[in-house]
Formats: sequence, structure tokens, C-alpha cells
Amino acid sequence: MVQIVYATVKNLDQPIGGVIVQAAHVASLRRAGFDAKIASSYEGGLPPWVDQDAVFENSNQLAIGPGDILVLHDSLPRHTFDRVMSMPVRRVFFCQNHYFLGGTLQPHERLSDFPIDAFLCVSEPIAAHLRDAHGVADPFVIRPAIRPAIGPADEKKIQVCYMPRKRMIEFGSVMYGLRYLYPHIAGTPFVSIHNRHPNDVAAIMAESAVFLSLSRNEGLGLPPLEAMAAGCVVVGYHGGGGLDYATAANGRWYDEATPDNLVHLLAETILSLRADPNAFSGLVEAGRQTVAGYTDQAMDDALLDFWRSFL
Amino acid sequence: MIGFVLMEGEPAYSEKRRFYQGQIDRLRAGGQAAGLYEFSDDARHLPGDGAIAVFDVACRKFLRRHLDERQIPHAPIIWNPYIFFQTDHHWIRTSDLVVSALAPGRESGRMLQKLALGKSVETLRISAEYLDFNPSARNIVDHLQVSRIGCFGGSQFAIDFIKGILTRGWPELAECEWVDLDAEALEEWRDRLVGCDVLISLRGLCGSALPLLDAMASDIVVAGMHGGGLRDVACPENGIWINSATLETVAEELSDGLLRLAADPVWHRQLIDRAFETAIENSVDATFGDNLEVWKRLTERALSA
Repeated sequence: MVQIVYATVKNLDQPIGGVIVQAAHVASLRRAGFDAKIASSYEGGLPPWVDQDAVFENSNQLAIGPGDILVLHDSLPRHTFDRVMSMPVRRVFFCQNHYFLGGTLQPHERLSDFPIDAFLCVSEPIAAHLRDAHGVADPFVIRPAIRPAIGPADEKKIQVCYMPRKRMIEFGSVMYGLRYLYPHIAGTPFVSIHNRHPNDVAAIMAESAVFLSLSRNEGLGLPPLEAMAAGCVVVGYHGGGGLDYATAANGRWYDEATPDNLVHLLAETILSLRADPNAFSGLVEAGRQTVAGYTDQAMDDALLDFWRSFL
Repeated sequence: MIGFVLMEGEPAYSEKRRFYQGQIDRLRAGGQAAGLYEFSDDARHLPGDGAIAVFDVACRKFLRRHLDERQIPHAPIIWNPYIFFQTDHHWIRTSDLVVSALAPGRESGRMLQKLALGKSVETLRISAEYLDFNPSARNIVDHLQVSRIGCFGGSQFAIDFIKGILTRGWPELAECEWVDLDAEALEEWRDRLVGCDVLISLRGLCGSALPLLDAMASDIVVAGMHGGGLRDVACPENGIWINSATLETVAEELSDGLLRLAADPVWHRQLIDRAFETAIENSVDATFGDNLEVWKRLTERALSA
């Protein structure tokens, strides 16, 4: 049987979103009867934070031959990329973040110049980039699944949950701007989801009325989707790849170069919710409809569609 | 006596030094005492009795400790308002030695005045001597082109992403030479900037924009983000300013702007001329009068404290 080998990064000590998605592909393919595996030079075996239906192989000991398929990721060092291009295998390029491709390719190089048989990606903005900047004719979009949300609390707290890691300065501007410019709502609780267990994240989102999105240069960006699933009003940045799902109907999106006006957008949201907890019910409902495209079933269907036609 | 205190290794060291030096030169020319103090945890390198110390609010704690011990009045500059809240700043309110907080630019001043810091907020206009600046000997280039692009600020992957989109997308831009302008040393910055037709700015959030004013004073079109440092003066007539947090949008607007620059020499000339006027209006000579009033008020407050 043809092997489908998802190459992944060396260091798997800490959870990495992109690896979780790779492992989800492998697990889904194996459940459908394919000989899929994830491979890395990591010595620790299959990490506990990925789908345990996936199979891990140490890439230093993996036998791969003509007819097998190597699924490349978007953060390959150039020397590895070149070596893989000369191997007698079929190649599929799986892009989860198009912003980092410049680390592998020179500005004048296009992915379509290389012997790659097919392209996968996780969002339409990535697909557009592959088409427009790299001359890839038909990138195939397989959207990852978000974790099932805990149903929103009966009565949500006027509370802002957020993931600050990628925009610390913007977060500081907003939080302290709220304190000084809107002192009457400065007591609004802010709860970080950074480094929290996924179950805790789901619980925090379920009880929070607002999610402050601090996405930056994302291939897709899952936290805003998870917040939509939990019934939060999403306020903030879509991070580029979030344009896969961000519309004026499902979030209060902000796309300015400085955060100067974000505090006003957030304050207006909080004030509206204080006056009427249902002030954004239409937006929240649109958010719930949006996340329907990011389920395990939708991912499995797209994944199997691709692999069955490719093989 | 105004004592500007600078510490080796602090952010924007070169910009601050240029600003301080421009103020010192003019204060001294007007008969006022002023000096630059390079401080490294040695109290002998601080302004003496009767002075007022000016330094970045994000300074190391031991600088304030020395100033407090010696009872030297001070006026911290909130050099980068965007990171102000992540720094320890409550001492502005509580310390009797703080005579005022200083804001970089009018918009920052208006914003900081709303924040009830417990002390008056004075607005400074941040400028310095421009590089090789001689308006009377300005060399007006007839043949405008876009062949050498300087890139300033931003992370390497963001620069690579934008460079890749421009290079792959448009043959007219594919042959451009790209120059990395991120140099802290002034001479290196000058050497790299000279000969650029355009400066692409991916500058992060900040309170000042001396490098961008340098370029505008040198007839180099500035395109991109000013990071908040030029929000008082940036307009569509003096630069290709982009107000988006999305790199694709930035790249798209940059390519539109660069292609128009190459194809429309009249617009190119208008941008250069208006940017030059903006640089003149914000030069250290043009802005010192406003700042002098601030320095006088600070001195009076320090004396009466």
C-alpha cells in the first residue's frame, strides 16, 4: 500500500497547532484505511497532545520509496526542501501558514516552479496566495476542525476573554485605554486563555460575552472560531488568514495599523451588551453558522475527497 | 539646566540621542544650560543640583533611584506611548520630584492628557538634524525612478512576504534592488539610505519617526506604516501611508503605490515635494520654539517645587 508520510518539525516537546492538524489528517486517513503516518526526527514518539489514532515514525528510520507520498510542511529549512525535491517520491505541499514561506523560498521563486504534485492548505486566503503569488493552479482547501464547544452559559458574564501572545502591545493599549478612557466600565473582567488547558479555554469562552481577537499573521486562526462556537461576540483582528471566515455579519473586526481605535470598538461593544445582553444576537448567530464549516465531519469529507482523487 | 539622560542599550537609543543633541545645541545657543548624560549606574554621570533630568519613562529603576536619592527633579518622556502601560509608571503620580510628563507629539499629548496621570502632560515635538540636510542646496533630480527600495522596520518574515509578493507579481518591481535599512549606527543608516528611491516602512508601534523624516528630507518617498510616530502629520499628499494590519493589504497597496510612482512622474514629484515641506515644518529648527516653551515651564516648575 502507498505510504502517506506527513513530515513534521523536529521538536515536539510542546503542543504546536500545526502538528495537531497534521496528526488529525493522519488519524482520519488511518481510520479510512490509508497507510498514513507522521514522521519527524523527534526521539520521543507520538506526542500525547495529538490525536492518538495517528501513527508516528522516526524519519531517520523510515523507509520511503517510489510511489510513496511525502507531505511537506511550510516551515522546511531550505536544505531539507532541496533534498526532498530530489527524492524519488510523490510530493504534496501542505501549507498552514503562507506568511512564513519566505523562510524557505527566495523572493523570485514560486512553489509552482518545483516538482510538487499537489497543494493542500487550511484556508482560502492561503489558497489565494498560492494561486496569485506562486502560480499554483488548484490548491485544495481542507479546513481543520475546531474542538466541540461547551454550550454557552445561560447568562453570559460581561467579561472579555483573550489570547494576548501575538499582540501584547495592542492588548496593553486596549486594556489600559479602557481603564482610563472609559472608567465606568473599567471594572470589566479580562480573562486570558494563554497556556490554559483546552477544557478550561472552552469553559472560559462559554461564560464570556466577548472574545478580544489578537490574531496576527495567521494561516487561519482557530481561537476566534472557537469563541464564535461558544457564543461570544468576537471583537478585533482577523490576522489575515481569518478572512477565511471573518465577515461584517459574524464579528466586529478591526484592521488598522495602530490599535488607537480598537479600545473604542471594544468599549462600544461592552456598553451595548450592558444596555442589552442580546444587542449582538444576530452577530452571535451568524458566528455559530460560520463554525459549522469547521467540524470533524467537514474536515474528514474534504480530506478523503482530496486523497481519493489524488491517489 | 536641562539634563538629558541616556543609557547604553535602551530602545531607540540613536533617535533619542539625536533629539536630545538637537535640543541641547539650541538651548545652549540661547544661553540656557543643557547637557547630555550617558548614565551607567554611576551617580557621577547624572545632572547636578539645580538641574531637571529628562529621560525615557521606560528607564531602568536604578536611574530613578539615583535621581530620588539626589533629589533631582525630573520630567520623564513617554517616548513610546504604546508600551507605556507595560512599564512601571505609577511613580509619575506619586513622586514629588516629577514635575511633568512629556509626550512625543500632539496626538500622543492629547491622548496622555486624558489619562489622569496625576501630573501635567507637556507635548514635545520630536525632531533632530536631518542627515546631510541643506535645503538651499537641494539637488532636484529630473529623472524619477523606482529602482532601489529601502526597507525599514518589521520582522524578517514580514519583509520577505512583502518582497516576495512584489517581486513575483510585477516584472516592473522584480528587478528592484532591496536595501536593509535597519541600522542603529547613524553613519551606517546614512550610507544605506543614500540612493534609495523609496523607503518601505514596516515600523512597529512607536512615538517618534525620525528615520522617516530623514527620508522625507532626502527626497525619498516613504511608503508603508509610520507606527503612530507620524500620526500628527501623515497625509496622502506626503507619503504612501497604509492603514492596515493585514500583510496582503499592505503588499497590495504598496504595489499600487510603487507602480504609480514609476508611471506617474508628476505625482511622484508632488509626493516628494510635499514630503520635503513636511520635513521642513517638522525640522528641529521649526519645532524648537514650541519645545523651548516647554523647557521654560519645566524649569520654572522645578525651581518652585
